[in-house]
Amino acid sequence: MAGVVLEGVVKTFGDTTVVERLDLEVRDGEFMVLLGPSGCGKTTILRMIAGLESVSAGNIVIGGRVSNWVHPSERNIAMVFQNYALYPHMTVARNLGYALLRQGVDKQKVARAVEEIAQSLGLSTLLNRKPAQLSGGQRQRVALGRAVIRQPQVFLMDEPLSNLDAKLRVDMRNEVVRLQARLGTTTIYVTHDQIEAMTMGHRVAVMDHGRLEQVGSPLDLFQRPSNSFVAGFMGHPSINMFRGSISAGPGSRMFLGEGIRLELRNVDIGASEVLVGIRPQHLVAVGDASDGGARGACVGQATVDFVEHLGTESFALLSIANRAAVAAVDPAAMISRGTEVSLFCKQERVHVFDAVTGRRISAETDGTASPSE
Amino acid sequence: MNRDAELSLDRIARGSSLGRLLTRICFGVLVLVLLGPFFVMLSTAIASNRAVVAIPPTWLPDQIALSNFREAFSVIPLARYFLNSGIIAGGATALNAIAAVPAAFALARLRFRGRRAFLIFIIATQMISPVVLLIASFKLMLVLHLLNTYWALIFMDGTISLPITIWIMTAYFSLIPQEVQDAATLDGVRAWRMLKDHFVPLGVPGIVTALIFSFVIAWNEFVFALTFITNPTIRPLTTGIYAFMGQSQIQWNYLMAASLLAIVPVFVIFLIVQKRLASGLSAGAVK
Repeated sequence: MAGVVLEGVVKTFGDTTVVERLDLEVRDGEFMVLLGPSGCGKTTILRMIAGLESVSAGNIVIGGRVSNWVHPSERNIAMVFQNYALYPHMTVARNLGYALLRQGVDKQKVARAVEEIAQSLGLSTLLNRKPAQLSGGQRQRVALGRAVIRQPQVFLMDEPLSNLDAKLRVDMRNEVVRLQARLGTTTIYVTHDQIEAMTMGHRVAVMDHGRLEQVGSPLDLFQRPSNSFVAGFMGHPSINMFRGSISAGPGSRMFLGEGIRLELRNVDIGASEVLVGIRPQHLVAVGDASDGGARGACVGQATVDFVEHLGTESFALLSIANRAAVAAVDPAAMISRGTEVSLFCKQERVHVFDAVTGRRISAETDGTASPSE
Repeated sequence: MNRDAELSLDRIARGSSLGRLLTRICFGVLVLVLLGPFFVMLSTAIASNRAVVAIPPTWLPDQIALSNFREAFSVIPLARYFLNSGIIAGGATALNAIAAVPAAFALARLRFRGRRAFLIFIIATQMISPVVLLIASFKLMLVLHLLNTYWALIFMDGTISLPITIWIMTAYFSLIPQEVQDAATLDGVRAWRMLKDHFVPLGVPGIVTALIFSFVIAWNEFVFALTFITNPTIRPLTTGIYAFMGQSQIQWNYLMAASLLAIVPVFVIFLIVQKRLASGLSAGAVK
């Protein structure tokens, strides 16, 4: 096994900088997720680690060795592609064993390895089929098997589950996590799906426009986003962001903006213009304001546009001061379209960001929040 | 539905059926124009020489003379000409396969300076008529002592069709997913193995399409064959059947019978590979 270190890595295509001076360490045996919107440079990073793209500046260190100029096949890595990239003209067995044959491994040993991998991934009955004769899930397994059979020191996975339907994606997600835990192979996994990132990664690196915005454990990113982009990207439904100004009050400061009025304590704020972020899970809408006491302080009033019942939780889509917001509601409460509601929130659940730079300026949350809370 | 709406729908229906009728008439005329020469070839091939030159001419002969086909073989060494054409067209096609497949792979997938300019240059060579090259080519073959050999026509016919075969194959190879190449690169595959293990098997429709073009071009080539070959034993069909055109008399019935037979191999190849040919051509069209 081996760790992967990116030291000041830059990638440019002509005048366009796709990756800006990236420093990132992926520890030996770690499951690191690169998360970000389309076009943020995460796949380019993966391709540079694989050696499929050159590095414009900086170093890629794999297993302690600077690998910038090492041929992809000599980096001892395996990659799973978004569209599987199986060899369509070869059978499943040949797809699985091809890399070993190219390495000069004895044919009988390759056949044994193929059988073992096929058995562990439930592909034994499909060995003589071509990829076109397989379902999406089966192709995904073949792609995984093709990576695993090489026993590489690093797995690179480029949105490998994005072409699967929702249920299969959840099944395969668990399978990939189990596989990585069993093998203990360093894994770098690219996705734009924050649920995948939260549920799979030991750590998550959030990227935007070629920049690394934050690296941390999934809960770190959720509870303590370092800027408004990370706060907005992590969590579902998306965090509510209210733009407003700060005014000094006796012993505390008051935030006022876009229909929200709340007291901020423990906040050292230089900026007068700020963004206040409150996750929908932490902004509670109640029909009767007297019911809200335990849920924190009342921060504003809103009108319900409609209510989404997700089974385990319910959210109300609200109009507040001519903008939309989302808040949690009690599924049993009689709240429907047009209901006037009061919004409650605990002060420690509020994230405050500089309105200009987007950087976090609020104090700690209480650390008990979770994405599914 | 009210009456006005019914009337307007009726008008649209009538309008569209009139349009369809006109389209069919146009297509019918076009088909007649295109098939006309084939019809004349067929009717002449089965007519006696006297019927061919009869005045007024007749569309179909009174008596069908299938013996023309047999006699064409005895009047000239037609079988030998078939063999010669096969050797020349086969050789030119083989030359194309050897040169165009790796060239197309390089142009489609390897990164090198001047790649695009080279691709444009290749297709630009198609603008030059082969006739322009005739004298220079003759001198070249003379210097190389290749006149009156199969090699002269194999090289020349192969060279003429090379740009189009490279172009078609490049277009087809460009459609092979980049990820397949990336996966193979990670599996330790370098350029030649990439070509052999992946691009050739995946590019079969494009390769077949391009090579058929090459074969047909060589099979039908006339001017170079007439210029380079004077030895009757290595003449191809195109110049061989030219012998039916004498100074004082043209044996139209034999000429057309032999011409009809000359079409057969190409026609059969097209029939066999028509599906693949269509996919190969359309692949080239969208790229």
